[in-house]
Amino acid sequence: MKKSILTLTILGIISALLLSFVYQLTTPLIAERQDQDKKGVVLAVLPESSNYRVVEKNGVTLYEGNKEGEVAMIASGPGFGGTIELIVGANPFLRQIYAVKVLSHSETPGLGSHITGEEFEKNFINKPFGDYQVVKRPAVDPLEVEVITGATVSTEMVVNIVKNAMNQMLVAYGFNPIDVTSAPITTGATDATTGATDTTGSATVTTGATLTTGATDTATSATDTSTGATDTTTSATDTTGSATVTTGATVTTGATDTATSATDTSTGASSAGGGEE
Amino acid sequence: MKFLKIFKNGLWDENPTFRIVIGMCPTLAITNAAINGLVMGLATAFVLLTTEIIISLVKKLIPENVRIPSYVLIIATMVTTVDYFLQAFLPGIASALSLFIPLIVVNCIILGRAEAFASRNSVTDSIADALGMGLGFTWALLLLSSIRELLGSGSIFGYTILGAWYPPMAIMLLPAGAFISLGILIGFMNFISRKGVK
Repeated sequence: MKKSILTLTILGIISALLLSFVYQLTTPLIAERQDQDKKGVVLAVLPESSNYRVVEKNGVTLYEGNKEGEVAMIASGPGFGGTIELIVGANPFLRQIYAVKVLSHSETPGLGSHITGEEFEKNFINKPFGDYQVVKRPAVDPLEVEVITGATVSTEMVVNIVKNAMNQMLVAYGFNPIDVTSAPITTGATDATTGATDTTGSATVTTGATLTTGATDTATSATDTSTGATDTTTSATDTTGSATVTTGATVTTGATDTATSATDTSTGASSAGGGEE
Repeated sequence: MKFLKIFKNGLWDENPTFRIVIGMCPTLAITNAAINGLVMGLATAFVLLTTEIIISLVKKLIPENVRIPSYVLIIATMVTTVDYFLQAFLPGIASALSLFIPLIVVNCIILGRAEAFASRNSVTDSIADALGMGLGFTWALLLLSSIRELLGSGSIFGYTILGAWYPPMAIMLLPAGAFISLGILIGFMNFISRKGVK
């Protein structure tokens, strides 16, 4: 008995020492690589900038290129198989998107994973800001995005995230956001369905979107009305903080109220599992 | 001579993937591109080699009743080391394999060989066993992932082999494709070995 405890203790100590050594050795390298990767990614979506600085505006982290007006922003939201993270390079003053690149995703290999391909990225190269629509035929209008075969949900989710990022960027620079429509969020993971209906104090706000999240059972929605403003603004944010959903109207990030205590209808309702199409 | 015999055992006679059919989780999950299969195989082989060496060295010091937790501790330490080094030096592959690197800890090939072989045999024999089993796992994953990448994306190691005329079979990249190709490969291996016996 004593020997057993002693053996495990000694082994544990040796293991901890070795791992702390490996950790110290590799952590600076890992951090450096991530920095380099990030730099390359930011500059890849800003056509004329050779450097950038990080600024925080309206709670959003923005990468301002040294070329006037060029701004990049990392945005994320739910996809079909998990969170999709992408970077948008744009000029909010000229209302132009330079490029969109997907940084990480867990979409279906061979289908939804095509959101990373050049073919799909072309949809957002040098395009105006606007209410993009997913179409099931070759895109004619600049604001049309041709659906990826077998991955309608993935396509729609990327478009949602881009539109949302576009508006966040506009708001951050003091412009009025653009009216956009959002596709309902459906993820492949089978989990709880959370109705994004919340009662915050006296103001009752209903968001049109139905949030199906595979991540956690509780997706708290934060909604509110900004009175006096021309538009009714609603935004639903899930607890992971990764997904921001714009519904119906426009977003005013300044006036977002987080209602964590509000009643959440999260029951094991049926959700869209199984095949994507 | 014995060294070679043990080595060949893992490589072919008791190949973990095609003959014993263990370690199926990474085999089915990450073999959608040849590079993933190769790195996963080599990472597992490295962990197997280091843990088998350590365990065969300390086997007399570890009391019988705590041997499993001790082995798991040794394996976990080596896996974490591999995980950090991959993140530092091969970040692209590390992110492609993501969760499956830490999961080498529970790959039954490793604990299985530690318990069945390293805890009972000399260091030299354990090295032979680890190399045989590790490389046996590696070539199996490499073969499976190359087939899947070729049929599913028309390329191997990212180089296009089948041109634009080839419509990629997306199913080969999905889990179903892994089952189908693995089944056919195992059948094929059985066919070859049976022929040898006759």
